[in-house]
Amino acid sequence: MDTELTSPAETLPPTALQIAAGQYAARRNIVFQRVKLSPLMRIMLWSLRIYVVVMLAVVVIQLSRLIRP
Amino acid sequence: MNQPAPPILHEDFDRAQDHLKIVAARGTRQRGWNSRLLWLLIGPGILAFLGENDAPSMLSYAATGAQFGIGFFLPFVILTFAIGFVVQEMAGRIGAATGQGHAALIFARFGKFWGGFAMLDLAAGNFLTLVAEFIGIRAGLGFFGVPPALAVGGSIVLIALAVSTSRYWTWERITMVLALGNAVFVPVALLAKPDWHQVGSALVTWSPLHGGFKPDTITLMVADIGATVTPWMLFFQQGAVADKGLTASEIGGARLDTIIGAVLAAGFAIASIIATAPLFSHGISAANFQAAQFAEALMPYIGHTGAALFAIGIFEAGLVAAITISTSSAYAYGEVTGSAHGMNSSIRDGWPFYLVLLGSVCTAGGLILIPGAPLEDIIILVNVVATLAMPPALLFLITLANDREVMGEHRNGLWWNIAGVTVTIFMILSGLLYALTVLMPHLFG
Repeated sequence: MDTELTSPAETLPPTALQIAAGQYAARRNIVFQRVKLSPLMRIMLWSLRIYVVVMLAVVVIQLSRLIRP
Repeated sequence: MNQPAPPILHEDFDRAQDHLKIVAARGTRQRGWNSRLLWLLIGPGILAFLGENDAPSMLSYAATGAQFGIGFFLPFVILTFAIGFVVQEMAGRIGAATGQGHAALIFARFGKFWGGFAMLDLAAGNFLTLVAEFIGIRAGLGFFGVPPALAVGGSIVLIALAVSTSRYWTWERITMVLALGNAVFVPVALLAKPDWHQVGSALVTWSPLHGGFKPDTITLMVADIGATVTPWMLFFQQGAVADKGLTASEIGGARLDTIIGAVLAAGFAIASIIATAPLFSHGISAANFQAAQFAEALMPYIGHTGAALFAIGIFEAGLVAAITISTSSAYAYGEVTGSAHGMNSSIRDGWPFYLVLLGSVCTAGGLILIPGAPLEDIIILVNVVATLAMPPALLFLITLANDREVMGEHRNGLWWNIAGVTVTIFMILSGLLYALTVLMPHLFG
């Protein structure tokens, strides 16, 4: 008798654990496509990017004042 | 043509195992099932909020209590935690609805260019904050005479032990036990013998700010906002919810977890303010206090035990935040590169994840051991930087929370959008006000 032909995992019905694990694997591999950004969204993204850069410059100014002996 | 089924990894089985326990707890109606279900669901929200009650935050609160007492700032801190809840609820909901991390979704929906900026903000902010956490760790243990190298090295070993289990559940429980150590500020507050009538009155009536709005006061207010909401919390909570394996049917549980986290963290933050209020009432200037100096200054009012507990609190806050912040960096790195990224990943599969996590803590910890580095000055500014970096992060968050394709029926409702946009405008205005105090201080007298 050839016992090597099929493993128990292939002959037995999948357990609840295996089904749930398969669902998690599928969920992990979902790929959402890129969206086309509207002009308003682009303006908001750029505005906030400039805001962050300016604000970080302000922090550097304050830090230099704090560190200066 | 049918797509081949994706490979099932070790981490998928771990998540499935944890989720089946939730399903079983929900299915039974035996005595105590509610508590059992709550026990299984809580974690990411509590860790995000208690992780954000970190060393710089607790020191911001301590500076607040010492310089301004409790009148204005107790209600202000409650407001900042309400803001934190609005923001973190969205992150948790997106994680449960999609099973994907924040960085992964930003890259997928906005592309590499905008995703790259988000990562740059996160990486810079996280590294700066990690350095501040190790300053807190060094200062907290320094109160007990522990040498800096031992304090930093021992903390890194503890962090490595917590993540070495390769099991999200175990890591989450270990970190939660450590995070609940933040409660140490409650006995410190009790030892300060506060006037409870005054505390109650401060909570229900918003007193005017002592001394008015001056540049230093505004910096501290902005730091207190950054002590509650910061970009890493979004990446951490969404990533942890996905890593834990919560699904859309657990969104209610994830929300409750966030509420519990916000309430606990607000309570401990208020305790820190109350604990240092004696310095204010005795007219002791704490404007230039750093780290462990609070514990020493408080000793005459709360005794050696109280001061020691305060120092332990600062150490604990730094340690827990070092774990959660480095985890948020590692989640983001794994999500962007597509490598295994989760506490359920085996060391073999997820070695880049663990390398980023431990590499960032080792680098930040090593930096503070450089003699003479002027790092103490950054500790309050770290929270200011967090506040300033929030508006773009909020734009990504609100857009994702409204994305019909990603969120389906779980996308934001009208009121949640109003709250989210209000929070974003509030953060932008806070940042602009801070910039004015630095660039044009004469405007504030």
